[in-house]
Amino acid sequence: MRLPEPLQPDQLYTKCDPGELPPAGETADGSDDLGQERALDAVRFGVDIRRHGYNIFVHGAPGTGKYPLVRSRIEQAASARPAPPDWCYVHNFQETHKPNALRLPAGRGCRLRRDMEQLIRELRAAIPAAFESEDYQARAQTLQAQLSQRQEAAFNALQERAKARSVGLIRTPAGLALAPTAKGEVVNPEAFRQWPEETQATVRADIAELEKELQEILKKVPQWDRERREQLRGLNQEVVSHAVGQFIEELSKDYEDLPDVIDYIEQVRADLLENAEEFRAPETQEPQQGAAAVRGGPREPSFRRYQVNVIVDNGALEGAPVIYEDLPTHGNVIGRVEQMAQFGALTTDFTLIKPGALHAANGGYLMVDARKLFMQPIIWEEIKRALQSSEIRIQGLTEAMGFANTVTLQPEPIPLDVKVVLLGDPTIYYLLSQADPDFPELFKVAADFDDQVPRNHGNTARYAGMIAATARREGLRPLSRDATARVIEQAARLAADSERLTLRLRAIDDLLYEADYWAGQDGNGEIAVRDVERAIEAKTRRADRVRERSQEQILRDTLLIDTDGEAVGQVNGLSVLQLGEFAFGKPSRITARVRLGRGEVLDIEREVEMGGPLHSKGVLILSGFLGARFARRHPLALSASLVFEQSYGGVDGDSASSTELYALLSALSGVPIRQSLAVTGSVNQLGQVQAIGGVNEKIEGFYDICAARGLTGRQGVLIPASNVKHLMLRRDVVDAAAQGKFHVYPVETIDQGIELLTGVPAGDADTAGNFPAGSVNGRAQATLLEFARSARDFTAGGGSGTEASS
Amino acid sequence: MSTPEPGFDVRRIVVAFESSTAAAAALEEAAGLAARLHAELEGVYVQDINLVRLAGLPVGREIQLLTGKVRDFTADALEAETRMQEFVARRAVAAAAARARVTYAFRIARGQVDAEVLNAADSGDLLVLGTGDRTPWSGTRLHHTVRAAAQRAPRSVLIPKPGTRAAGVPLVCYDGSVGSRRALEAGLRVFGTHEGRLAVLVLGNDTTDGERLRRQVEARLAPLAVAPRFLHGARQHAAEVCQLASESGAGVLVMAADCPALNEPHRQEVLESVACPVLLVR
Repeated sequence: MRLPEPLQPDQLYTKCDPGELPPAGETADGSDDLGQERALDAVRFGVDIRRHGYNIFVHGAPGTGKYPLVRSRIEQAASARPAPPDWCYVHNFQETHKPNALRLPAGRGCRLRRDMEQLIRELRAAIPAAFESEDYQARAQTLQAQLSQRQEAAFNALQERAKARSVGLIRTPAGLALAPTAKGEVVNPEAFRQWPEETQATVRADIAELEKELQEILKKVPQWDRERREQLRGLNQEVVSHAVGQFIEELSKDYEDLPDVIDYIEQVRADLLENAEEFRAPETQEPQQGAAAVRGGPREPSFRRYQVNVIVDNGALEGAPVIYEDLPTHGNVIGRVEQMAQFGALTTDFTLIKPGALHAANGGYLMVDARKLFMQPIIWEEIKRALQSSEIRIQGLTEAMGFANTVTLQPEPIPLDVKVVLLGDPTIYYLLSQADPDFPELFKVAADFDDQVPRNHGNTARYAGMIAATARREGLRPLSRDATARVIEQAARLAADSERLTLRLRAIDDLLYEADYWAGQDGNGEIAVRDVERAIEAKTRRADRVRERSQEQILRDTLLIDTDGEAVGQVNGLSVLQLGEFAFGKPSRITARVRLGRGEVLDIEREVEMGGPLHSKGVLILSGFLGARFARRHPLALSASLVFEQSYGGVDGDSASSTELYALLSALSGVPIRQSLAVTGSVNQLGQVQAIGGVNEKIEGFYDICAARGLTGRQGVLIPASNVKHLMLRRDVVDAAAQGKFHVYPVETIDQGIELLTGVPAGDADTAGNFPAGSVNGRAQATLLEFARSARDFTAGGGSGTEASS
Repeated sequence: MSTPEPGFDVRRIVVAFESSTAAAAALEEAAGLAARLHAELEGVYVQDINLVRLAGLPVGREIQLLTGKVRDFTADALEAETRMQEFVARRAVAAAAARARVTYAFRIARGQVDAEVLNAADSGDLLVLGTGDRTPWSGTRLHHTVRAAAQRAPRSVLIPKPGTRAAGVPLVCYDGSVGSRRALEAGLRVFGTHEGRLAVLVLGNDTTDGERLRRQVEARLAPLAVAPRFLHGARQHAAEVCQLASESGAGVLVMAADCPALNEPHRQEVLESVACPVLLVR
């Protein structure tokens, strides 16, 4: 079997040749959609199609530039569409608690508001003036005098009739009384009793009759007063109608193309006539606030009900609106009815209706971050309801949740024509697709943003262009060609693939900002390679405290990791720790012990519930491999235990399964493993080594320990051959490899790996399935055969098992 | 404040009233004047003897204005009502005097209202009427007690008007008579000037006479450094007086009770029609 050679430096790090990049002047084309053609086609389709339910969900990994890309495409489309109409809320003169919505062409909402304000200003001067006119005063006084005369005449007639019968009408504390009089004074009771019975009876009869007449008059007094008030009201309406008419007609002319507005103006006219009295207060009087003002309190002027609450003003808009709601609370999206404290109570009216993002975006596009949306209660359901019903219905949060029982405003719903664009992680998209039956109906367009792009010549050139454009847009120093190449190399490293470039452009933008900073620190006019590298190193330095502590523990032999010597059943595995955006590799000692048993490989991590399902799967595969390779004709009488030594934080993934198999083979064969090597890779039942993630970090993690202890030239890492294309190692690792001080071996099979690790041939099976004695496989096979025989003997006659490794 | 010429002095102001509701505004007015003039305040509650008699009559029944219901008007009910009214009246006088920081007296008079009000006027220098709320049959005319006081009270009378106070620029009717000269003194003494302003309505026989009267007033006011605004009106022309009072924004009209330029019935017409309170000077 031919063993793999250590990888060459150019296989460990695929450089970007600055010479292949276009000249600086040609790179700055500003193209920003590299690798996102699929997603942007979807956005274009979603934006263009004007059908119900074709809202857009843009998903992709964080930092892939979804928002600016999508926004620019939407704004492009929006600029070609007309500005949508303005919307206003006005008082509902029939049902006060249900304000009416008025639709006006863009820009005319504010004009109507100004016109109405002007109208009220003029009426506040014109109506009191009309009421103060001599004509009005004279007519009003006449009405009052008519009533007085009517009353006076009735009472005087009664008095005359009473006087004729020597009876007087007297004012008492609470009313009126009739009493016999003489010379204008009430008759003394003693004198009255001296009168003849007949006279007294006559007086009683007269008084009784007059009392009835008096009662009749008193009954009529309120009616006369009512009639007077009606006449006065009629007079007031006549006066106001005359004062108002001219203004209303002038106003109506400006809106004769808008029937709804004309209808509203007519309602205003009718209300003005109905409530003319309110305008008689001096103009300087401050109007009331809140609901009391709208409803009109006694003797208080209330003009707020004639105001126009412009909730959407598209007057300054060119094209359709594109709104991004940064804080998608219920009120910010749907709108709300605010309240104001007045004498300790909360009141509201239509002027306190506040629009939400849906109002602002109506006729255009509303962009919302899905994660922020789902952090707010109720709002998702409210957005869906608005989209399903194609109208915006403003109601309070408590009302929407069914908690509110208080009387509040019910603004007339506004027709909704909006395209909602949600931006979020794929997880949210797939969760919604699965869990919310409304979601596929309402968000039929998915725009899937990629996080990588193939690293070919064309894309590399476009990537360079994107970098130059970013630098120009953000006001950074220009990058030298070498620096651009170095950034592209880092983009490949971030993609964890030498053949691809990351599209998580936020990380690249950050790298450019930081490189620019370092260039500035050195007083450079352009960003050089050293600035880019310094930025990368500084960023790593800022984040690698935990890595340092971890390495320290190994170097101080707190965590036991050998980087030299040999040991049976012991191998250096590699794992990756992810701390936020920073990841680093950490060596772990993996040991295996074998003994007579019933064919089980015991995963200690799993037994103590520190191992995840993928790790357990990897371990179970080992049983399959061992059984198929060594125990085809006899039972696998093995009991093996595997453990990640000094692991206290849990293990998952199958990237250590090949490592564990090497430890097992060493334990079964008794052949020691070189501790100067570390291993990563998963394995299948056929013994093929398979690709794993985090290969760069893992290699660098072991390299750092070896370098700290001193490179011997024997140290290195075995990686799956299929991971070679992912290698974008640090410069110091590559340099060590170039100098033959550190090696990276691409391994395809377990046999290659065990031979590299032990220096002993793995051994190929003959046609009977037997491996050469002395080879690793042969020794392992012998041990297992011995176990099987011991098991048979034990079952037949009893006996103890045999342990094969130390 | 201007210094009045001797001849019109107010040491005791009498407020006569027959119900507590009518008393409140008059009491405030009188107490304010008492404080200004350093005078004593006397409240006179007049109990109408006609009501006492009515309560004693077997036919005494009251028809309530608010409800139209008829109930017996008994002595017990009247007594209870009277006690309550007296209590409220006494307290109202005390409270008004306390607010104005003047000394006061209170008494009760029982008899025919007009006669008792005239009697009450005799105990002071100025009568402020707290009576005369309109009856349903009086229409816009003055109450008969007010008319009686205007015609027969032995002292000067301040006749209130509903909803107004005797405040603002005083307007004095001047025709050169002794009464009008006294009215000018009374106006200055009782009301002074309002922010330095005083108006004089000159009622001359003609322009020349008007000018003569004007000079008289100017001569009288010159030592006081008061430059009044002069208005000119025709004699025996009540409507013109009322109109000028209204147009000039007079706060109170001051006129002599025996003003020759405004004989009866013109004087009565002015009292009936003018919108501001009237001080009728004797």
